Amino acid sequence: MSLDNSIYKKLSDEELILEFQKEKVEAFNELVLRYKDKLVNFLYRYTGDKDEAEDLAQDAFVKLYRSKHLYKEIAKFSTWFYTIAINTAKTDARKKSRYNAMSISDYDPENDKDYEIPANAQSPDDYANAGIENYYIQKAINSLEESFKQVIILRDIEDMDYEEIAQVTELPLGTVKSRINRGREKLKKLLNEIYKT
Amino acid sequence: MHEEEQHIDIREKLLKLPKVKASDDFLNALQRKINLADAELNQKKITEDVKESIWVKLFGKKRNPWLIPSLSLTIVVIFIISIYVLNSGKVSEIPTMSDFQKKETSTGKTPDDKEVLKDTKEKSTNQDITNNFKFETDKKDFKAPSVLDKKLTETPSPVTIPAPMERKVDEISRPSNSEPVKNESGKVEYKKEEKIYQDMEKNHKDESNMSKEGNTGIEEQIKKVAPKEKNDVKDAIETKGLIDKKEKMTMKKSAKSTVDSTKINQQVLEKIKEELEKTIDEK
Repeated sequence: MSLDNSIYKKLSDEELILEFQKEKVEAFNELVLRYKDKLVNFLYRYTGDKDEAEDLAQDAFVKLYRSKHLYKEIAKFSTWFYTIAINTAKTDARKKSRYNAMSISDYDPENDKDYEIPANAQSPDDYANAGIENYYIQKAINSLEESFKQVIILRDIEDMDYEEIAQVTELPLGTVKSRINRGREKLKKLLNEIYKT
Repeated sequence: MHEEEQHIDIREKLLKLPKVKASDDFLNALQRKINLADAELNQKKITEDVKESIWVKLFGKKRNPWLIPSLSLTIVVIFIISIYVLNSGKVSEIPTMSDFQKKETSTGKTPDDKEVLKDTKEKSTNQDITNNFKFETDKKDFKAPSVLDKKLTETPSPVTIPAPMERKVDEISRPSNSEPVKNESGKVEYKKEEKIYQDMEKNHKDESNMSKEGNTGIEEQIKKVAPKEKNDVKDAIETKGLIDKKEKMTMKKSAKSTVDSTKINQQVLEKIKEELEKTIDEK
């Protein structure tokens, strides 16, 4: 089994997915090992919540498991897989926006207490190790518009090429560059406002 | 690149952000989700197979495409055949000329209107207006006489005039109230109906006597004229002439007798009607 795994480690992402299309589960396992951290990081920066990011990453891998036959060698595997991940995140965001959010504190109007649900996301104390600056940067990214956020993350966090970003987002190259530029400007403004406060 | 230089500080800050890694439980959770997804797929496949109706199985995708036109054609053919069978059954109930022709060929006679009426009028009874007398229209009492007396002529003749000598007096129905009644003085009186009956008897007797006399006269003539040798042509012709005359006489007499008999019957009926009307008026 370890020998088999070592063979798959030498294969490229595209070769692994082709092997997985031949019903070889070890190829899929290798792909999961290669992309799980990248995907969780990308989705964390996109959503701002780690648990949510892991759930979305797992959903993306499940979609990959079901629709492995859809991959064709025209594009890179990373491009195709990131497209799946972004679409999964977007659909999840749309679902959440439809829910009518209400405060649990409002459920019991007689009591003035505010009910707080413990959050598993990184608290500001956790951010202290990484720097308060990182916290505020993440807060600024979360406040960006959807169209700017994804391109900024793919370019400045994941360090993808402009062409690859254009393929993932299915946008023209010029649109990608302009959005990245405008996104950076907005991010700068937001950070200046945060630092001032 | 100019754009990159403008916002390089932001890019560097974003690149320096710490990388978030997946938790240790990530792979197990992923395996659970994959197993759930497989189970759901299997259930969907099973339900889809069960839900497939007969129509989908027959006419669904990738099934037999020729089934639809063939079935429709068979249905149309069955419909046409059923209509034809039903209509043929109805038509057979209505009598046609062919049926009549068949009857003719089987019996050897042409079905006349009289024969058609015979079946309906055989047992019919006609009531008089006053409902006091019932006249049986059954033809047994008033038999149409046969064509000719076979004793007189051996060869059948086409004439259908009835011969009165064959009619029997007893066949004439005697009125019910015709019994003689005694008067106060002791004389036997006959009622009017009885008188009419007796008149009819007399007429029949006279007719029979006349016919007999005519027949005997002709027979005597035949005997006188007929030669001893029967093979003589002239004699045969003469005898034939006499026989023809005889036939004519009998035909005439029979015609007369029938006319006379009908007249008598009519007279009788009229008299009876008058008497009935009188009785009703008296009442």
